[in-house]
Amino acid sequence: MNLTFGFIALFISIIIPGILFRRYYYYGEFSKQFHTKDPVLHSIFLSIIPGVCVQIIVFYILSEMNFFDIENIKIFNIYKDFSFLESKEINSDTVKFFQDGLGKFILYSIIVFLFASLSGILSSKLLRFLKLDIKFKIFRFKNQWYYIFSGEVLDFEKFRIAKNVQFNELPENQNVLLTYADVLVSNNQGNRELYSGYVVDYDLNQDDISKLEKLYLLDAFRYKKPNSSNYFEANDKTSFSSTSESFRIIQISNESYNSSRLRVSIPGDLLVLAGENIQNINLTYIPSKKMAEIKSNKKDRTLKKVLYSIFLINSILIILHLILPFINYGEYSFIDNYKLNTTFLEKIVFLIYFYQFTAIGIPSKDELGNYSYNFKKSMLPRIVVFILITISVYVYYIN
Amino acid sequence: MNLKKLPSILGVFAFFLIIKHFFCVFFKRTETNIISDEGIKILENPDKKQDLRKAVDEYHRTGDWSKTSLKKII
Repeated sequence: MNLTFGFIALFISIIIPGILFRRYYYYGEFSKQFHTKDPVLHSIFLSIIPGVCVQIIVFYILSEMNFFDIENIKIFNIYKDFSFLESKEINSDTVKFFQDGLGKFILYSIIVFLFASLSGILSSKLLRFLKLDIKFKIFRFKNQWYYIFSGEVLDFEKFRIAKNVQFNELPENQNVLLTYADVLVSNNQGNRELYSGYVVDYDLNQDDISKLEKLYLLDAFRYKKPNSSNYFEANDKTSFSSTSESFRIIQISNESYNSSRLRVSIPGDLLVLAGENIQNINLTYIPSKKMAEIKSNKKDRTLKKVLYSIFLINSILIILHLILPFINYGEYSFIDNYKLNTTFLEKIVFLIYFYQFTAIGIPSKDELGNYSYNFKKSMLPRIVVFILITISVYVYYIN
Repeated sequence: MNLKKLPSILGVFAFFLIIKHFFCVFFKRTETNIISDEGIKILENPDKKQDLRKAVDEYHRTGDWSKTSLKKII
C-alpha cells in the first residue's frame, strides 16, 4: 500500500509527463519509435528524464508567476507522507494539502501535462528545423528509412563525401522533388522481378522499426523479358495496349529491340510491395526547383550578404529585447531609460518600426531565384508602409 | 477614438501575426513527407509524368541532370 501511494505520486508527477513528452516528441514519420507495445518498465525508465525536466521547468515558471506559495520543505513532507503512509503519522502539511490544495494540485498537474505535450512536439520540430538530427547522430531518429526515402540521407556527414563520388549531382541542401526507386523483388517460387516507380510511402515493421514492412510506388512499371507475343516494335515515346495482356508496353527512346528487359506499365493507381520480398532498392533522387537556379554571381552574393546582415541586426535586436528585463544597464543609461519608460507593446511597435525601416534595404528574389532591387514591386510598398507607421507613431506621441 | 490605443492594437495584431507566420513556416519546414507537393503535381499531369520518366532514363544514361529535360518539367 505504501509503495502504491508513492508510486502513484511518482507516476502522476514524473512518469505521465515523461510519457506525454515522448509521445509528442516522436511525431509524423517518427511516431513508430513510440508505441504502446513497449515493455512497461522500459517506457517508465525512458520517461523519467524528460518527466523530471518538465516538472522542474513548470515548477520554476509557476512559482515565479506566484501560481502557488508553498515552501519546498512542505512538498517534501507531503511526498514523505505518501511514501510512508502506514509507518508514520500524517504531517500537518499533508492535512492542509488535502483540505485546501488538492484542486490546485490537479490544475497544476494538467498544466504540467499540457506543457509536456507542447514541449515534446516543439522540441522535436525545433530539432528538425535546425537539422540537428542530420548534423549530429545523437539526435537522429531511429527511422532510417525516412532519411533514405526523403533524400535527407545525402546530407549526412558520411554521405556528403560519397555524393562527390557518385554521379548524382545534387548540390548542398538540395531539396528532393521525388524519389525514384528500382526495386528487385523475389517471389515465393524464387523468381526475381524488377519494379520501378516513385516512392510515395512506406510502412515499418511493428516489432522491428529498422525493417521495411511495405513500400508504396506511384506510376509503377515492371520489367519483363522480351518475347515475340508481347513485344511490339515502336517509335520513340509511344504507348499502346497489348492484345494478349492488359499491360501497356512503353518504348522509351533509344531502347533497342534486343534490350534484356522490357518495361511494362502496371495498370492501377498504387503498387504495394511487401518488404519481406524486397531484395534490394536502387534510388534516384530527382532534384527540385533549386537545381534550376543559376549559380550565384558576384552581385547576387553581395545582395545575399546584405540580406544576411539585416537579418543578423534584427535578430540581435530581438535577443536584446528578450534579455532586456534581466540586465541592469546602469541608472540613467539610455537602455535602462528605454527599458523602464516603454511598455511591452511600445517595444513591439518599436521593433516593427525598425524592421520596416531595414526592410526597405532588403533585396527581393526574382522568378529565377536571383536577388535584385525592384523599386516598384518591393521597395515602394515598403516605403509607403514605413511612412504610414511613422505617421501613426507621430500622432501617438503628440497626443 | 483614443489614439493612444492605436499602437497597442497594432502591436497586439502584429504580434499575433508574427507568431502565426512563424508557426506556419516552422510547421511547414518540419513536415516529414516522402513526396513533395511539387512532385505530386507533376505526377498528376500525364504528359509531365511521361517526360519525367524519360528524364530519369536520360539521367541514368548520362549521370547528369543538366543533360536531361528536367528543367522544363519542374
